[in-house]
Amino acid sequence: MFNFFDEIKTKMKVKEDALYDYNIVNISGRLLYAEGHKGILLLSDKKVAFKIKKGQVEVCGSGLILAELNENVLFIQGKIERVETIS
Amino acid sequence: MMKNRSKITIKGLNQERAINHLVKHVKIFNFKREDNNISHFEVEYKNRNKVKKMLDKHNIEIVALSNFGIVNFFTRLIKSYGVMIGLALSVALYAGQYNFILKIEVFGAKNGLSGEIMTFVDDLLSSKLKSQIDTLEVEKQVRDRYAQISSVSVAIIGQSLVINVNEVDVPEEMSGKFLPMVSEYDGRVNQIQLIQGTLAVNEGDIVKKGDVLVYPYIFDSQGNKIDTQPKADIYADVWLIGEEVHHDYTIQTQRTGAKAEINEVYLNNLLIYSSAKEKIFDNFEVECCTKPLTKNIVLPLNLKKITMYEVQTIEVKEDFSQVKSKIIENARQKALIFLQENEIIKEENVNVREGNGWHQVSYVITLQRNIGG
Repeated sequence: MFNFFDEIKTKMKVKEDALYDYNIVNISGRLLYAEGHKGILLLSDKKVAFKIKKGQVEVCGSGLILAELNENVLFIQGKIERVETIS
Repeated sequence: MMKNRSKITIKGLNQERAINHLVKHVKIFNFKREDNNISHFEVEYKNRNKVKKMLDKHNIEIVALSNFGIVNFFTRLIKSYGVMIGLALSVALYAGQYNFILKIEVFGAKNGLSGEIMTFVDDLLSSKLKSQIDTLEVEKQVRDRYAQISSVSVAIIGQSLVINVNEVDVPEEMSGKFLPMVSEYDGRVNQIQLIQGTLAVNEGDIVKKGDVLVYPYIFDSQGNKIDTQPKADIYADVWLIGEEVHHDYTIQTQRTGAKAEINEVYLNNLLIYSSAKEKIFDNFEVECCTKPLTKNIVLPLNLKKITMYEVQTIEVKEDFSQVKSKIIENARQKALIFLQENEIIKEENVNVREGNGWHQVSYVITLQRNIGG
């Protein structure tokens, strides 16, 4: 099955081990798609933090809503100001 | 409306842990934190009970739970006892009344008979319940009651009792109404073959169109008059006449060949434009035609084309002797117009009457023809 992220990684010829942790796509600062999360750490309208394999990701902004959340994928809607990865 | 979901408002601490546990089993939508302790989110309608149990395990209080979507709509409808009872009653009433005949229809009857039959059958039926109507019995009763009906069929279609009838086609002998046979032409009777009826003419009689030839009755041996259809083959010498009149001196109008065209435009009947300038011819004939310029009623414009043909009068002097054969032939052709196919001409005669400057030619064709109806 076609996977967008796999295609990019294959094309860029990067070592596989380092790049199969999580993927994040920030669409116009209004929608954030993340796959590969390991659980939610913090949920508020200004900050959403979730665990990844080796650390956590913090999404800061305003009016943040978890539009969709399942075991592996999450969508965050709202005004996204900053996305920070903390290892 | 199409998404069937439940919106859950929760209150409690450590909600993230509960959510992490929830997402392993169900999908969560639109999670929003209102306050430190209060959040709300949506789950699929079918998972609401599972989510409630899981939240209980995590000591998360469910402050509110509301459902939306089309499934929820129908579920609420089913639980709305008043509506369901009303629906059930309507269905029951409809099913009940469907067992009854609501109207009687009659087809194939003429002259007000259908109304009579409808009233008769309506009185005949003891009950309008379909199961108690014997269609065969109704057919029998209608056939016995109305002698002028040759066949009848009765059927229950939907909530109507449909009756199809065929009326008896009474032959003329039984209806007792006959008309006499009359002559269709003027002539002299020369051959009679009577089949049925009483003769009104003899061979050698001269008859006019419309004269009675055969009466529609006979007398039996006891002198009783019996009506009957008159039938006979009656042949007569019939005269076909064509006439032509010739005048020695006539004035005729002839076109010179010159013509002019005038166009006029009308708004309805109001002349708004004309191309006519001045008097073109002294003597002329006119032909016109009108055609519409527009195909709407808001602006009804019509174009009238007038064609003027110049004419002149000429004096024609022709002596009868010079054109006699032509005049006779014209008269003959006029007489032949009335000749029918396969008729044999017995005799042809020409009569010429003369006056002051004129001659009248009568061409008479005598032939034998069946003048009865």
